[in-house]
Amino acid sequence: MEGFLQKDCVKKLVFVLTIVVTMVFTAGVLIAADLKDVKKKGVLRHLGIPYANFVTGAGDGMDIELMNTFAKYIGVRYEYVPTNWKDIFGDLTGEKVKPNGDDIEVLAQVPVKGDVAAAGITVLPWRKKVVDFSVPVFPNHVWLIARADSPVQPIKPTGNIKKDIEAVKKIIAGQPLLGKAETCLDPSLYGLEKITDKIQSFPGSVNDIAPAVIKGKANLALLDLPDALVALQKWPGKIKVIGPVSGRQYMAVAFAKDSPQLRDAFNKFLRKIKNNGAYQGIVKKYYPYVYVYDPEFFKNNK
Amino acid sequence: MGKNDPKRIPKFYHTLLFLGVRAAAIAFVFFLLFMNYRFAVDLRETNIKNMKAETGQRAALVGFFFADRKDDLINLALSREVSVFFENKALGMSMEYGLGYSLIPIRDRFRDLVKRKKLGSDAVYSRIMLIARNGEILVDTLAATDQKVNRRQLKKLLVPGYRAGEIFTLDGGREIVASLSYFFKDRYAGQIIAWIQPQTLYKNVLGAGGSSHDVYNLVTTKGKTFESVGVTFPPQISGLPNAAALISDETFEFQTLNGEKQSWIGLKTPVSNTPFSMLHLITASHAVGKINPVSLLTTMGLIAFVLLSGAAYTITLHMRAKETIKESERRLSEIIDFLPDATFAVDCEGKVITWNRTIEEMTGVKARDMLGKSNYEYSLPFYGTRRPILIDLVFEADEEIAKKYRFVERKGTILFTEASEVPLNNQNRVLSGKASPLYDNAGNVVGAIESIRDITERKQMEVEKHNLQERLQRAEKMEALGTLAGGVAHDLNNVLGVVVGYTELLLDSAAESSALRPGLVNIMKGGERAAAIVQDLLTLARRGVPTREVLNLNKVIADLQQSPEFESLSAYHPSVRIKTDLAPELLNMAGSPVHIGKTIFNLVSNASEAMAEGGVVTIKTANQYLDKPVQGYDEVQQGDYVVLSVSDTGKGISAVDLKRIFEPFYTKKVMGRSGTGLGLAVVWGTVKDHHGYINVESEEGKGSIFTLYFPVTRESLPAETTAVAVSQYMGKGESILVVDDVKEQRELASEMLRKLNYNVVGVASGEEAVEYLKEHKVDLLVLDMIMEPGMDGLDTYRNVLAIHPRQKAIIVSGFSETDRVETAQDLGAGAYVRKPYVLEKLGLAVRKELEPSA
Repeated sequence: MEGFLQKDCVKKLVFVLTIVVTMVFTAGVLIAADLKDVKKKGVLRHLGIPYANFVTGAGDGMDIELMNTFAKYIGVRYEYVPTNWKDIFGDLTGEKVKPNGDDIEVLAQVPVKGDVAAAGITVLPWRKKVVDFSVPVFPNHVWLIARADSPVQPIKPTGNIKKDIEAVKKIIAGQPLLGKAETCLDPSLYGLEKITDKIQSFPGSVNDIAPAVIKGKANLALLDLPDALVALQKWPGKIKVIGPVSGRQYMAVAFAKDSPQLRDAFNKFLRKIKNNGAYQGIVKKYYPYVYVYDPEFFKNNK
Repeated sequence: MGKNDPKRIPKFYHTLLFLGVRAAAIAFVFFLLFMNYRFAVDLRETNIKNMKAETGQRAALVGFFFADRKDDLINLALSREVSVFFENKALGMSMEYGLGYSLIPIRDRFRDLVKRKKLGSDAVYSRIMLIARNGEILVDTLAATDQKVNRRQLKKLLVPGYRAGEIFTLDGGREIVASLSYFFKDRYAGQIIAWIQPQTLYKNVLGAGGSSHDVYNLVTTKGKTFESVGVTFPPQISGLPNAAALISDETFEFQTLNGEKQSWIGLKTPVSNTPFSMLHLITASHAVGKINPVSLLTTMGLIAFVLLSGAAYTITLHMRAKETIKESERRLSEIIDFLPDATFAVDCEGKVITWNRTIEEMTGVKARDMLGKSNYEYSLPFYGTRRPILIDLVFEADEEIAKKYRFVERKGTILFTEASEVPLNNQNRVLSGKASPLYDNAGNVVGAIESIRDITERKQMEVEKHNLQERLQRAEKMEALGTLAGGVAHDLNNVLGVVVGYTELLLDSAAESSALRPGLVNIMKGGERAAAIVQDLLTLARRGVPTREVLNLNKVIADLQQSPEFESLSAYHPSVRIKTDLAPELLNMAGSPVHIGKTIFNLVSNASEAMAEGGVVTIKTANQYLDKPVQGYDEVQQGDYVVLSVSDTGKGISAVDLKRIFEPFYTKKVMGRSGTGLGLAVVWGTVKDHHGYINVESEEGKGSIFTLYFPVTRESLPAETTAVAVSQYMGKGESILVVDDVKEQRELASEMLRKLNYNVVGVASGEEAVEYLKEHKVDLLVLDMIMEPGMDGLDTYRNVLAIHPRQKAIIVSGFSETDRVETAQDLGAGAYVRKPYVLEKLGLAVRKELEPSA
């Protein structure tokens, strides 16, 4: 046996085979897994970013619970894979992209680290080009918030969202505005870069935007509904909602474009847990007030 | 125990003690009643007090409850959630963008309070609302579909003045509400209102721990009426009094008006810091008992009165019973004491417990000396020695004791005995005894009692009675025999009458020298003797009452001694010497010389025959006055008597024969002497006919003495009579009707009368005589008294007198005069002529009747 292994051809063969095998295995890593693959692997990898109560950072959150339940639904183990807003889609699709308006720019091929991405991801046009989203999981609005003692006063709602947005834009005009690029809090998504050039992208977590405003690091900031509700609860009388900068948005679970079966399985799963009330229970657990705040969404998205 | 016994408690102290005990008992009962009343009153007051305290506690509890509600609202108002909202609102946020979201935590908190706030398992709140100052409902814990809001009412709920919270009612009292004014930065911002579950309040606070008899109700007052808060009044509550008139914390009473009327006691207590009062209602019977103290006192007083009265009555009855028993014992004791019989009693130990007066008199031993004594003390007076007597046999039979008595009879539990020759008071007495056990109520023997009677006299009387009965029997026997004999004698007398009568006629017809004359004389005499015998029989029959004439015994004896019969007797007993000892001044007696002579003759004859070997017969007469009765063969009553005694020295008469010697035909003599065996019977009969008595003393082998007692008469002897010439009594042709049922007698009488020159008709019965006289008249009737069958002479004479009221008549009969003869003579009949007919007597009687002056 030792004499056979010492022959050069054999060494080469082994090396090639090793590479091939490695490639085969790594190919699986490089390639987003669909349902069969997930089942075959026996694990569902959930890409998540600590954000509001979607992923609290304490190991729980609405999306974590949803994914965990989905993993059980398809009969596999659940695995949380932390990521960030910059890498989340690349970690999902294997392609690192950069939004450019509603378009994207592929920056590089990266390893696929997860099978699903769920972290309160707002469905944006550019994101649709990168991933496939599930049916809406959560409603969203983006609001303009200010520190409580800000001279900026909340708008008086007109009952027309567009008019209200316009009213808010007028307030923003020429004012420093804090947002966060490449997220739903990116001011460019709402054309706000056209009304003010004093846009600042918050480098930290979305969760820290409201505290930044309270601390005076920004006078005005964009905050999505879930975060705003949390912030209003956490820091009552410290911040105020001025008004909307967007209409209703939706949050959903992102799937690689080559995981249609997985996405279908999730949609089917979501329908099921909406019907049996498990979904509502999860939502109430983390966002109990959203039912009161946006009953329409939940009424129409059963 | 005597009246003077020193151990006897004086009655005064007895009464005093009795009254004292009674008074103490009554006082104690009244004390108990009073204490019971006080207890009932105290209990009632305590119950009321407890009720007040408990009601007050409950009211305080309700107050705490409501205070707690206010605190809940205050806590809600102070909650972060509420303040956040108002903070956000103050920041100008709109409901659409963020502010509305702030209500959600408030709602959740309110809902959490509704859910969490419970008493037991019952939710305190049914709804909590947060109403904005402008009336907008900011938060409502009810689901939107359940929210029924009356906007107008809501505005009324906005009361800025409820800064500390207020409790009030809505919907006419049906809803209980806690309300708190909410101020944000000292500015009225709205109202927090919580609806309180009345059932939770009533169940867990108002009525907690209460009994089913208690009714607790929150109320408000509206004028005079109570309005129930939260719930309606229980159906059994009605008729509540004027609410305005009630004083808080003071009980009131009322009666329900619905259904079964009940008395209730209520208490109104204000609930602090609320507009409410708490009514505590309870049925009077449960609050203070079914009977109020006064009624209880009255009832118990009546019961006590009845019981005491009953007890007093019972005691009185008992005392009366005791008195009665004592009285009974006393009376019994007195009765025993006064019993005619000597009575004493002993207990089971033989101790004397009773010794009555009669036994005291009998024995001479006083009760005080005998009571309590034992060891047969009671036998000493009777027998002189201590020994068991009859009373001791009650406890135990003893043959030796029983033998000492004549007999010992047992009838049930009573012993009877007689003892003779008991040396009682130095006299031998005959005693009868009766002894019996004494029992208590349980039937146990507790002693014995004996009664003793002195029967000595009674025994003597029994002997006398026996003797009298013997005499009576003898007399009755002789009477019977006499009656029999009399019946025979009557017929025999008639026969003899014919014989003697016709013999007389023949003698009258026969010449003096006729050879037939001696024979006729003998026939005559024989007939006369036979007649005498018949007379004996008749005498025995007591129908031959002897003719009453004054006689002297001495003369009768002298005449007897001259009689042929006496001579014959002397000749028949040659060895018997008959001597007389006649009293010289012997008094006279009344009677029949013939019968007396016959009696003497019979006695002398018997005496002679008793001395077959010879001896002396003494005939003695004497006058004798008896100042008291003499008991002999007869009992001779006191009086003057001429006494005839005939004694002999013969063989005597045995005691057995002595009793019967006077019985007819009881004789040992040879028949043919006195002939008939009627000798002594005739003696007896004669003595009795003469109202005399007879005594016999005899000793066998020594002789006998027959003593006859005849009552004395003070009349003088009649002069002697001589024969009357026939011419003195010849008839003058008058008509005579002879009435006799015996043909021979009738014809004899008719022949005699014809011979005496009368016209005679004979009829055989009284009836024929009456019929004859209806058609005829006669101068004289010769009436036989005894005619059978049909009317006798008296009845015939009565009937004849009805026809001829002045009809003359004489009575004839073979018997002695009787009452009927006397009656006929009282009616007008003349002489009574004894048969057998003697011509002279018949002629004289007829002549005398026809010519009374002759």
